[in-house]
Amino acid sequence: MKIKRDQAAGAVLVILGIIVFVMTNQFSVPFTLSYPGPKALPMIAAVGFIICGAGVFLEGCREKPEEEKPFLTKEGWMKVLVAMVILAVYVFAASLIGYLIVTPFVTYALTTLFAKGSSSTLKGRIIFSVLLTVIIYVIYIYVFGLSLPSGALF
Amino acid sequence: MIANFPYIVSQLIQPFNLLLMIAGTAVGIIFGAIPGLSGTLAVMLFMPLTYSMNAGTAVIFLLALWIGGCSGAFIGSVLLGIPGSASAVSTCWDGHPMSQQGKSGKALAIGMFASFIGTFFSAIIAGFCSEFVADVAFLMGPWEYFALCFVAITMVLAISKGNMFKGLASACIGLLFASVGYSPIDAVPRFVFDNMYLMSGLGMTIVLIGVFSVSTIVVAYGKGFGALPEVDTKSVRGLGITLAEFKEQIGNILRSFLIGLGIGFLPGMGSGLSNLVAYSSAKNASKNPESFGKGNPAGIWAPEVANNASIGGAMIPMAALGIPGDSTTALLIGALTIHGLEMGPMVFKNSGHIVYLMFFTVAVVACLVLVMQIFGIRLFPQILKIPYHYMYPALLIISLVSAYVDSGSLYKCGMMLAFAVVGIFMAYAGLPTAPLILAFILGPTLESNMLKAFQYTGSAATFFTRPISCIMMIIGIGCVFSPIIRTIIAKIRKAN
Repeated sequence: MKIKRDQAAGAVLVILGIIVFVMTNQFSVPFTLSYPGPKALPMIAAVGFIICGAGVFLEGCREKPEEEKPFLTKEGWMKVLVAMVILAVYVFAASLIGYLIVTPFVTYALTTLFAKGSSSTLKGRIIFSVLLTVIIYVIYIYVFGLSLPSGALF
Repeated sequence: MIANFPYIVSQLIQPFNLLLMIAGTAVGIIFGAIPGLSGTLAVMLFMPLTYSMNAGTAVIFLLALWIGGCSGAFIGSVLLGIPGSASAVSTCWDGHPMSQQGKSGKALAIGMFASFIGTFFSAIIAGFCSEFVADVAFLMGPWEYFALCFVAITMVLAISKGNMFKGLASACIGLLFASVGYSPIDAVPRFVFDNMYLMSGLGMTIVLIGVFSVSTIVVAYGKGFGALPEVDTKSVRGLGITLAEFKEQIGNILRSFLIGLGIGFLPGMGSGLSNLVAYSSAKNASKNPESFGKGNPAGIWAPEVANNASIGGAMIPMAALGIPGDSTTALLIGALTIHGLEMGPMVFKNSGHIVYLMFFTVAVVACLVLVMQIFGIRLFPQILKIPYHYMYPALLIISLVSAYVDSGSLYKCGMMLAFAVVGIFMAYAGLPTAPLILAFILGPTLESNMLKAFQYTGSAATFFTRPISCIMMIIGIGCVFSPIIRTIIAKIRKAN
């Protein structure tokens, strides 16, 4: 049997609710009716997750067994994964060698990736990547006096 | 108010502030016009830029982004038939048919003038009413504040897309995020895992940029951008509306203005709802309701006046009570807190000059938007032709840079990517985003007022024995159960 999106989402919410509930019960200050204390807010969230998760799951079960349009295709999920990995690498690399060196390469990688199937030139992407890096740097550092990662190695 | 004029004028005529106002308005219009982006996202992304500014400059820049975004949303609706944001959904229904009939210029002109009327006059009304509302707010205790926050969150649930469980689940995610860090009053560490970055709670910028900006772009890439939309450029010339046509619409404009102002004033409600209500009211009041949906100018006037009038409406509870009228004002409350401005009744005593600067800025930006749109009407189609492969990487880099500037730590940029995964899950599950924003930003106010209320009386009954609090709680509970109530009412009607 194919699991529907609502069923999967509902199950995740219920599990999340149970985890939050268990963790909240470990707080030292007790929950009482005269003073709910620090447990109240996360407890509301936990109970909400369990109830809503169950509701979303049941709604998913009630839906007609028609072919559900997939949220993303396999290829789409791969694209999401690749984009997220590039961003993670960007964060890691920027911590080592700084914003100015990493950003043009990451911007170029992203524009090339996003440009697949559309008309764009290598020269255009390179110019855009360098320009974007410089413009952001100038605005943040010189106009607004903020700081950008300089890199642990420098 | 008059005592603050010298400060307001001195801020508004500073060249740097003027430059930021123009830049913010232009960026806001672009974000508003492009489907998928919004003025809210612009405020979110550029908020960290304001950290080095004084409070007045920051207010001018952030409001320019917001107003530009609200006023630009109709461009996508008219030219593409795809709303720039939720506030311009019903503008599509008549705006795009007009565009298809070769009247793009006229449809855009109506959008411009309607946006101006809504924003400008609602800001003036907000300026006059807020202090009065703030005086009333002095009578409110933690019970009423808790109840107001509760209503703000639940009202968004009542109008959230999809089923109620999904809206509530989204709000619960917001509450969970708001719980991280030391609890108010008792200072108990919650979900910190001995990690120093979590001790002070989750930063607003990190969470919101991760959940909304990064995830939206990455998911859009996963789905495939497709070809750039076809835009009719030939009929975008001239304004094409006459004074007589304007006079014909005065009743419609006035009604829509009041609808927008009223809905904007309600906690948690905003332009996303007011444009729909105003459109259906205009249709119901029209002598030719069958012409709606086929390019009736009244179908553009109504939603555009209403969604922009919601700006002033939303600013009243934001300034006077510290309770956001919609998700963007929730963001602005957070941003202003960073600049040491605690919104609420005391703000008129402590920082009245900044509050009145806010109202004046909105009015001035409304004029600026009108001028920029009149002179830039031919550029509108170009905004919608910005290639995705340049726009989205730029937004991703700005998102990461903003996260770094907000926290000064690349660790938090990594955390932001984790929140992007939460955003991807929310998109997968079809969870609406507005409840999360409101619950996350209102969570601390909600919790601290709830705990204070219990400390004073030691009982939950007090929430129902104080009249204002009781009414708010009943409305809030009604909103939570509104789908069930609606189903029961429908069944009763059917049976009758």
